[in-house]
Amino acid sequence: MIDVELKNITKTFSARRKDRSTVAVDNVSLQVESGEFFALLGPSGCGKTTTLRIIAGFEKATSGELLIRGKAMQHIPPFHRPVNTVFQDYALFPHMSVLHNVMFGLEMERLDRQTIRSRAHEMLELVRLDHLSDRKPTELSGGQQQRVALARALVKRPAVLLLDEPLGALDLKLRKAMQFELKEMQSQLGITFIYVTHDQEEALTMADRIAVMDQGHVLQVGTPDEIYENPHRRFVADFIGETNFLSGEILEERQDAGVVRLRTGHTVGATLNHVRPSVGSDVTIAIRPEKLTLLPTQGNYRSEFWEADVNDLVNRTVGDPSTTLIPGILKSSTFIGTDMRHCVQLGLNGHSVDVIIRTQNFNREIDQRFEAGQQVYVYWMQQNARVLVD
Amino acid sequence: MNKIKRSLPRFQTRGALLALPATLWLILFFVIPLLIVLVVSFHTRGLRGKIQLPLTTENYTYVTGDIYGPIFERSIMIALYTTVICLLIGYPLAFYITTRRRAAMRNFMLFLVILPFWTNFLVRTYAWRVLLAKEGILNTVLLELQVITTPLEILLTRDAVIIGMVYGYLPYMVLPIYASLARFNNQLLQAGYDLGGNDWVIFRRILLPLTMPGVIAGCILVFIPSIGAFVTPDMLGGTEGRMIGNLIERNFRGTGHWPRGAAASMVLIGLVAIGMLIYLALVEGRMYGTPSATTHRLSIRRKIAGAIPLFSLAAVIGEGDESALNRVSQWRLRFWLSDQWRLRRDMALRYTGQAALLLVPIASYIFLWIPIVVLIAFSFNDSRSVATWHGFTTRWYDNIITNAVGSDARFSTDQMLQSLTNSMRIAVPATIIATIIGTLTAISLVRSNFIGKRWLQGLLYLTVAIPEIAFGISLLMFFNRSFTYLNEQLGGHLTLTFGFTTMIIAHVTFSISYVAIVVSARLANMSKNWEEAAQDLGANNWRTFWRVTFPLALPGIVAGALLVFTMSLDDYVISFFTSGIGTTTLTMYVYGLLKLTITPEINAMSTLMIVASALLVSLSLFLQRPDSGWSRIKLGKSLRRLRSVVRFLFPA
Amino acid sequence: MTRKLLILPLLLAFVVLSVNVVPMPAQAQDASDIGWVCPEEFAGQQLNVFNWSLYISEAAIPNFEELCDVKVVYDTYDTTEAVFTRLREGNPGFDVVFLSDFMVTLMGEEDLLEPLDLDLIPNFANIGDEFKDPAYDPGNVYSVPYLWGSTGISYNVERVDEITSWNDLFDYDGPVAWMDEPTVMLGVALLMNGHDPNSVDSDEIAEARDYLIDKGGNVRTIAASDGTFLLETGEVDIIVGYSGELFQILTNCECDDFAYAIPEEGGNIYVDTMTIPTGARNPELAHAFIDYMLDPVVGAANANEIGYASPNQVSIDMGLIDPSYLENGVIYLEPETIERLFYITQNPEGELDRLDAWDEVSLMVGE
Ligand SMILES: Nc1ncnc2c1ncn2[C@@H]1O[C@H](COP(=O)(O)OP(=O)(O)O)[C@@H](O)[C@H]1O
Ligand SMILES: [Mg+2]
Repeated sequence: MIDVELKNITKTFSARRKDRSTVAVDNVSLQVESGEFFALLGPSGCGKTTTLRIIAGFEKATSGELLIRGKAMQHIPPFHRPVNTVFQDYALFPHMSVLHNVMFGLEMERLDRQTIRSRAHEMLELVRLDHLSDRKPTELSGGQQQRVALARALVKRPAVLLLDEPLGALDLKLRKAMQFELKEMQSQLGITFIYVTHDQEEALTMADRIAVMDQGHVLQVGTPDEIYENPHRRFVADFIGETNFLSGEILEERQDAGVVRLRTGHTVGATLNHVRPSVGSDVTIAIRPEKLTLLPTQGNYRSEFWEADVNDLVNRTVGDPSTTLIPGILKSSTFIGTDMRHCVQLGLNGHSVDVIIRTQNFNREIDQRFEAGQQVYVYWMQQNARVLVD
Repeated sequence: MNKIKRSLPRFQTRGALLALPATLWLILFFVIPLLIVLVVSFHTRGLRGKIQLPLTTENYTYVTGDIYGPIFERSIMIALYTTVICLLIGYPLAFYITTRRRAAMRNFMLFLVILPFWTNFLVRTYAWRVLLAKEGILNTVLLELQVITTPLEILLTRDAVIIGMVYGYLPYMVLPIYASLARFNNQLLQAGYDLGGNDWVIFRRILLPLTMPGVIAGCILVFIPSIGAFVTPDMLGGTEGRMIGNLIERNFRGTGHWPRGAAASMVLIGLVAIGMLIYLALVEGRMYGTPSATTHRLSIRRKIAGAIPLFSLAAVIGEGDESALNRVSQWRLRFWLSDQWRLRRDMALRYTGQAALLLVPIASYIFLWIPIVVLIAFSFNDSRSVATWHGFTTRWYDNIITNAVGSDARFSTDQMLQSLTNSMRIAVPATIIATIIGTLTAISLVRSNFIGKRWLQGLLYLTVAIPEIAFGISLLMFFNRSFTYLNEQLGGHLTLTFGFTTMIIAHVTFSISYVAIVVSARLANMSKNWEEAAQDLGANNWRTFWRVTFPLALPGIVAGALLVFTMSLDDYVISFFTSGIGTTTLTMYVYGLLKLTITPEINAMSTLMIVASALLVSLSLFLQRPDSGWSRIKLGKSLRRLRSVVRFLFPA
Repeated sequence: MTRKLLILPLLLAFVVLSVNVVPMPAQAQDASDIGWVCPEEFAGQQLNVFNWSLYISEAAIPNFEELCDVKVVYDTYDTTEAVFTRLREGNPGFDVVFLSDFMVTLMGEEDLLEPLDLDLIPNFANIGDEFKDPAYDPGNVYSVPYLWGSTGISYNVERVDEITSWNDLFDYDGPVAWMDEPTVMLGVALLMNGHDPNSVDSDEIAEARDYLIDKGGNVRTIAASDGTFLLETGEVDIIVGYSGELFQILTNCECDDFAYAIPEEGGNIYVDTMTIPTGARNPELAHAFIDYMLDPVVGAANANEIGYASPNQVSIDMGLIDPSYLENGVIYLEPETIERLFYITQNPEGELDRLDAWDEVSLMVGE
């Protein structure tokens, strides 16, 4: 079942001077499934909050249609929508105690006093704040405020809970803990979450599906896996995780792969998905750093998982577009805990490009060692390199 | 295909609806009278002061000529001085009040500001005269202390006018600033300090910009009416302090020159209107942060917060003006390397600031209450004089008491008490109505956009600008003519005439804008988030208002209501011209005493009013739970406390 | 806040109760002392009176209410000009209005007053002849006199030598206050320049204007109706003022620091009158009230308590007027002094000239 559906929603904030108007949300269409943890991900100012506010009913879309549980919502005021919001800055009522903040929403439903109290307390227990129920919001820490805001919204048992960067103000540790708790709570309660965040890691870890937004547009919707592994747009690839971009010209196009001549002069194979660039046009290839392998220029390569003779490999890749091996110079290697992060300069004269390569630290005894300045090969497989249009 | 909706967004129609009562009210009872003034201003004065044809612009030539011109200038200068001094005193005072920790203390301090003005206007002014006279209290004390060797000549000078006006208008500055400061988020200041601003910078860059709506509202409510003031200059200023209000008043008197008075009024209103236009063009959106502007600012803040971790601190801390923070950071950059002397300077600044924050409020309270002390002293004067001391007596109180108890009714005391009752019968309903309409108007102005919003705003300023006498007389003409017409139409089924109703209508008319302006100052500083949160939780507009907007806007609403009540008690001119039979108010009664003499009985009456109000307020503050937010009173507990109070007062 | 205010009267009563109660000496006269008989059956009716505050004796209204078994609603104003404006825009129901002499002329002309039926006011006969058929209301068509007084010079005897002439004021170099009565002040100036104080000649008025501007250097204020305060507190040494005002401060201080003079050139006499405005709801009762007020006993009480002079000759002849008042030279004047006084006639001609002249005078003096 679809809980929330946006059809071609556009929102323009008009200013007195026409050229100052902002299109905050541009022709956005989304479908959020019931019980789903749906993340709206994008950089600051891309229109996430505005989209959320349109769903909640605080902004009226300039055009387009909004359906919640199949019902058109354009003319329904916020207080009649089966959604509740955890606001970005919580918006706890400063003149009410924690308990009264939580009770407020139930009072609006005209339940009897007893039920209201017990449900509010229950909810506060759930967020482990019952002992602070008489405090005023100003007397709480950031994390506590956040949990009150959550309790206040959840106690209404909404069909859909809207969360606007709810963890943005918390420290890393608390954020991680809350991420976990939120996810837990969501799967327990079975409530649809629409979760706004600019933190791609948060979106990847928590969401069932993610919509990536930029400048008012939704660029891609998909599971974290799809979004990460198969970004359709350069922006998406760039925004989520780390990516190497190699630009070039497309020479040949096959079923689902193409041959691209890079600026460096190398000709490589790459997957074509969703994009069908005409032959001869400029394209970009995106490759995740962990999908690249760093090889010495001769001798044996050895790691935990495979071992190969480099010369063999070189011979094998020649003429095979499904694998690529390009020489380069290792500029630096950085130890970053779980990984090593290498920067390699591909191409030598004039048209060179730096790529980032990550290798995992499995066994430092066994792992191949590299020195900065050393000649290396960079190796990847065709299915890990994706042709993108901008 | 996209279905583009061109209808007005919902909140806009609702905003217009909220503004409707004020709009209709002002059109009916202000715009029409104003048009009457306009029309009159182009007429010719006939014999016996009649208004007659031909139409002429000569009145305008006259009132902008050599005779009136300098007086206009002087009035504006005096009004400017008054405004600036009020601001300099009022701001620290308001700040002092809002920074009291306990709510009861804040309310009490605020009340101390307004309470002096619930005494009768004339006896209060008389007290000032007694203070400022050549052989008055001030000079006597100064001579005694050998601060001066010859008495200062203050009374009947321009200085006296300014002192009197600063005194009279101080609450109109303090209350709006208080309203905009109330529940001010201290974290914003802390963020500023954190970013390295010293006290002055924090004040200039954060506190002041954030309280700007209140400051602007205060300045408007002081400056505009004080240009047209006439009673204070008349009583304190002598020939030196004469202001345009005096000339307007004289022209409207009896067989004066109404067209000329009307023209001068229109010029005054026109000046204010032009001033307002310039001002609105300059500080567009500051006063009434339009909804889009507010959200826009918020979104900017979020951007900054996202970009610079430093600012995330600022971003968490609720409502605010990020541009202020932004400017602080620039400041910080400029003075990043602070020298030893800078530290010293900042500490010196801090100590002077703290001293000023303590001394100015103390001095202000003394200033506010000194005339009241004089007034109270004279209520014990054993003479009919309120000017010179002739010994101690309680007879003025005895008069009132015996009368109130009913053992021996005196006509004069009876008259006074009756007129006090009348004052209350007008002030209370007028305050209630004006507060309701004004609050709705403020909400619609601050929280929504609708066609004609600017016009309504302008109208509100104009009601503050119109000279009372012009308004009173035009309202008189308006009521009289419409009653004559309506009574004809009604054919004797119902006869409309002047009375309490017309007086209440008049009072409400000149009060709406005061409430609207003060409450707007409050709302402009109040984040919309809370209201949205309430709606999100299922509260409809009505409940959102009562549960969230109203309690949070309450400081502003109370401030507005206090001002209205005070104005209503003080008003003479407008009341007089809209009065009917049996509606003489206390102020009218006391003015009528000028033919003979104002007796200390009025002082006694005023003293009793002060004492009664003070007791009442103390009682209500006492009954109020200290931490109950706004005025939620726990009934059982209050009754128990009340009982103990009664037991204490009446043992056995 | 407002809710709390509703309890204010209650609390007031509480305060009132808690203060020590001392009975007042019964100074009000009893209704039974008054010989006047209410002429008709007015029981239960209402009379609406418009007057200055307390410009009537304490007992007058209660006694009238008792004698006629009626209710009197007493409203007040501060200036008679304000009444003119108010009534020109319709009479909300006043039955008796107290007016200054010149205002009677004006409002009579404007049909704002009902002609009186003197047959219903037999006590009119009590009025002294010199106050009957006055210039401001020939034939007493609209008004009967209530109290009278004069405008002259009040001064501080400790600081100023005896005043006999207006020149003593105009040539004085200490602080003085004039009064905001254009007709009176211009009248004096006209007088000083050898013209009729009520002159309508624009040249003569201009001359008077220049005279005042010339002499006005020492004017601290042009006081509306409170010059006495300034005199009493020593702020100014001389004021132009009403006799009644000075009498008030003399009573207040129980001293003789202040004196009153009608300068030899003359001064202004004013009479406050009782009238019935057009549109009165109960003119019969209004006539009865006016007649009651002219009763010698009632009239004497008014004059004595207020400290103004009574035009009621019978009261004086019956010895009901406080003898000290008759002699103090402030309230009642010698016949030859009265000779020197002029009335303001408010001639419609010259009105605008006076207005403009006074505008200029009031802006130019004292600077
Ligand atoms: N009320 C408003 N008026 C004008 N512009 C707005 C308003 N609200 C948001 N915007 C603009 O719309 C864009 C999207 O804002 P928002 O939805 O808040 O972004 P975010 O993705 O960071 O939540 C931004 O450029 C912002 O400046
Ligand atoms: Mg956002």
